[in-house]
Amino acid sequence: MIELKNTVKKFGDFTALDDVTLTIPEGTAFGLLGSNGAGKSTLLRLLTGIYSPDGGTVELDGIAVYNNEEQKRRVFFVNDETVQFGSFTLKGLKDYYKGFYPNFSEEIYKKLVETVKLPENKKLDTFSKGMKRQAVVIVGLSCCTEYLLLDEAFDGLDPTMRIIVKHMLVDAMLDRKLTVVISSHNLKEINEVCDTAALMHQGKIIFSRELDSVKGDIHKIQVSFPEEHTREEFQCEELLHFERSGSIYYMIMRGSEEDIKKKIEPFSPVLFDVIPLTLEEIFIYEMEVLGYDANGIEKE
Amino acid sequence: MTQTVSKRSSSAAVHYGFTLAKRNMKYSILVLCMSLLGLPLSLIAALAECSSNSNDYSYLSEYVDEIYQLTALISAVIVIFLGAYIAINSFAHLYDKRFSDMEYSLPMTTEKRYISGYLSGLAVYILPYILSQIVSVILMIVGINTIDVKRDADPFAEYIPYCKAMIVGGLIVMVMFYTLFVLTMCFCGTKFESGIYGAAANLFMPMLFVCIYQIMDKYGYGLVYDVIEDTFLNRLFSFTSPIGVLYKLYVLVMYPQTIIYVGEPPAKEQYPFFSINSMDGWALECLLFIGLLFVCGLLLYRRRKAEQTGESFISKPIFYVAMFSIMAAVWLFMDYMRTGTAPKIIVTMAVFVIIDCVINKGIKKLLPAFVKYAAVMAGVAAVYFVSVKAMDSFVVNSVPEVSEIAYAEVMGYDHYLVGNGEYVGEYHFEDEDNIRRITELHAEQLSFHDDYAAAVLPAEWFGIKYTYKNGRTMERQYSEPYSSVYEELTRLEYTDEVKKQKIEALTNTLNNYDYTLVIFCGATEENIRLEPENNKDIFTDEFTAGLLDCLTEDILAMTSEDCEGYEEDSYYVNIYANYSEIDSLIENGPAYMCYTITGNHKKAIGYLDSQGILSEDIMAGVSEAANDIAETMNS
Repeated sequence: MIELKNTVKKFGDFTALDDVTLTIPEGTAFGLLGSNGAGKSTLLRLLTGIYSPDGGTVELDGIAVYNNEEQKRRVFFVNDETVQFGSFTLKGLKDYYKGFYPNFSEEIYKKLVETVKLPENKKLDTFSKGMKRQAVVIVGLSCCTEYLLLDEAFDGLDPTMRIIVKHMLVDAMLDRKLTVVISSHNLKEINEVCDTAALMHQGKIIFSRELDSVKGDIHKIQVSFPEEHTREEFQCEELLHFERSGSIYYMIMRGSEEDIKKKIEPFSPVLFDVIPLTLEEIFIYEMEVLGYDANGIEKE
Repeated sequence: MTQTVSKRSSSAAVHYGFTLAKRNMKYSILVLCMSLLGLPLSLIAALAECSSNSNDYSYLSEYVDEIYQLTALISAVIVIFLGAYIAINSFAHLYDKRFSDMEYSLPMTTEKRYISGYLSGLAVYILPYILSQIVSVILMIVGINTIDVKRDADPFAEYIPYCKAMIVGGLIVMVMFYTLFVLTMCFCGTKFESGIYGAAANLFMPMLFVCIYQIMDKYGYGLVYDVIEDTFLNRLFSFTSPIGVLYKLYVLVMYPQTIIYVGEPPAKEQYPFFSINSMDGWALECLLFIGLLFVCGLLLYRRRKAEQTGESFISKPIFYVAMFSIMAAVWLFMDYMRTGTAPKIIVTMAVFVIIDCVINKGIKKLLPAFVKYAAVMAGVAAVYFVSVKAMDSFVVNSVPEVSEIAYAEVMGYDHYLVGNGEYVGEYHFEDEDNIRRITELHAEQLSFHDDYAAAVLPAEWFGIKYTYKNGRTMERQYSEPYSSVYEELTRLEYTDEVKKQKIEALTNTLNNYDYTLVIFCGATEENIRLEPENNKDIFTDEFTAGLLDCLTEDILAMTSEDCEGYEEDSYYVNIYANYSEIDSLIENGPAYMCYTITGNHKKAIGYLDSQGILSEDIMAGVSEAANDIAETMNS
């Protein structure tokens, strides 16, 4: 189990992670969502033991990761950059990591290489961005660590390869209870692979919940009233978004369907429909509340 | 379980080392090539030189030989500099962000990553060199056995010590240079910065020694020069920087007799440097210093974080300490080179601003750089002033309290202490009154400091050594005594303590030495006469005992007033001791003079006269041998 307790990470004056507390249970596929600079990559680097926390703790099963060889051996980190592997061949990369991870499985490696049909003896410099990422993911999965951390995992992958990589991850999770932590801007991918997600903004965790509960907790409603109403009349903590188009009102609200219905009923709606929300919409509206929306940024 | 964990972690560290070694392989090959152009090539030339069949090697003309030596030198320089590149490349994750995530995420502790990186780079660097040296040894053995060696040449005796010095010394230079660059790499952010700081670190110690040497030489009035030289130049300098190690190697190679000397180390005054026997101790000192650099590097590396990749890891205090040292070194070095103040300011300012701009990665902070420069130079001036003043007050002008001293020794040409000017006399004082007199004359000498007009005997010297009751010692030497000091030194010679020591020394020499004793007689030193073949006949046991008795009586009766005007006396007799035979005396000159019998030694002169030593027969018997002795003495 990954545990961050009141973790703080600063880079000079800039606080990248501000008092973050987060728990990621074993065997979960955990998605890290957030705007650029939210602290997702920093969090992954702390989990890998690349960075040391300036405050709080970062632990795997109650033992700190930083500068702990045994703990670090349980984690494999796939960076968003792959340029550093340019001088390796896929075989060379395999041999490199095999020396550090004693549980490395040649069997898994061979199987995965055959699946994606990557050339083993060509330098990674000659690979496309997507191929490089596949190569690193293959090696990462073959290391058979308990935790696999992927920073922008699906960046550069074509749709077919995305599916293949997703299958690889899912298979590994099913086969050996691999815990995967993925940071991505691609909410669709997170939605498809992860069962739990955390939303980060300006170094803080906004929420961390199972995706089903996230989706069940925010609703978009389409309502119509006999009289005109303003946003202020509906203003409450739960209201994330308010939009009017003619006599139809669109509102995004937090809470269960029942709760929202109870809040709207006093206004005697003539129409009340609940429209399903995608994760991307949830992300956008949550961020909008935090002042991170296109309009807000443009105004700034 | 513990064993498995330990095995895993060590294998990971070894694996990491191997992967780094692979990354550095091209530099390793370059080191091998350059090393092969070094010592082996110069050995070919040396062996050819030893060959009696010179026609076979006629193509090895002098100028070809020079080319070989030059190639060897250039390749050696390249080999050393490759160390910097390998060090920087082995710690690429410290400046190249591409490697930082990859290497910091590996399951290794910080310490293991550092040690593994260090050893891997070191192995890549020195193994090719060692290989090339093995080749050169094989080459030498095969070469010596296949060529006709000139009759007078002994290649083994000549080149084995040379090879030992080159192999051991070469390795030390390489390891120290490499370690110094690893250390600078640990606090630098870029390759360029590492290069600058690496160069500065290499120059720092030599320049620091120049500074210390210069301050002590300039302001250390009376401080013992040999101690400065022995302590700083020949010892500390030779193992605290690659340049110092090279200096030592240069001495070893330039004075090969010091390294092929396998018995006792050579006499200090002959070559005050090293013998092959002292190389092991020196190598150990170098290794300890390298160990210190390694540990400093590790401490810095541990403090450095992954997010600091590509950034200077130089905190403000470190920056100011480093800049202070560099500025002081540059300023004092230029002072040593007798450069004017304006060039000193320009050069130090330029060095400061360049380094500051490199650290700040630009010239945006140019103005603050000048302010910082002014602050640092003010600090340098303040520390310099305080150091000189402190040295002046607490060291140079310090005269110990009589109550603290166990005993004092006074050394000098016996011009003062014995009355001849030929050799160094040394007397020991335990009497409190005498010690007081010594401290007073010491204080008096200090009070004349800089008053050169008051010096009576320029280019002479005397020394005082105090041994404190706690065992500590303090030694001072002054190049010219002042008149009152000179008089007091002369008076000290006639104290009971000195008389006793003189008698003891004389008794010891005359009774116990197996050497041949020789008397030179004459009114002046220039008029030396002796029949050497009569020497043994003269120095019978009875004669020696009689002479000793008379000398003892003379010494005990003598006062400082008696000494005045002795030069005008008609007899002037020196007793010399020699290590072996009279022939050796003729060839090499006397080993040392035991005593001078001046005219005021009434009893002794009377005794010599009564024994016929000063008779006309002997005085007139000027032999060829005696002339040789006289020539030797005069030369």
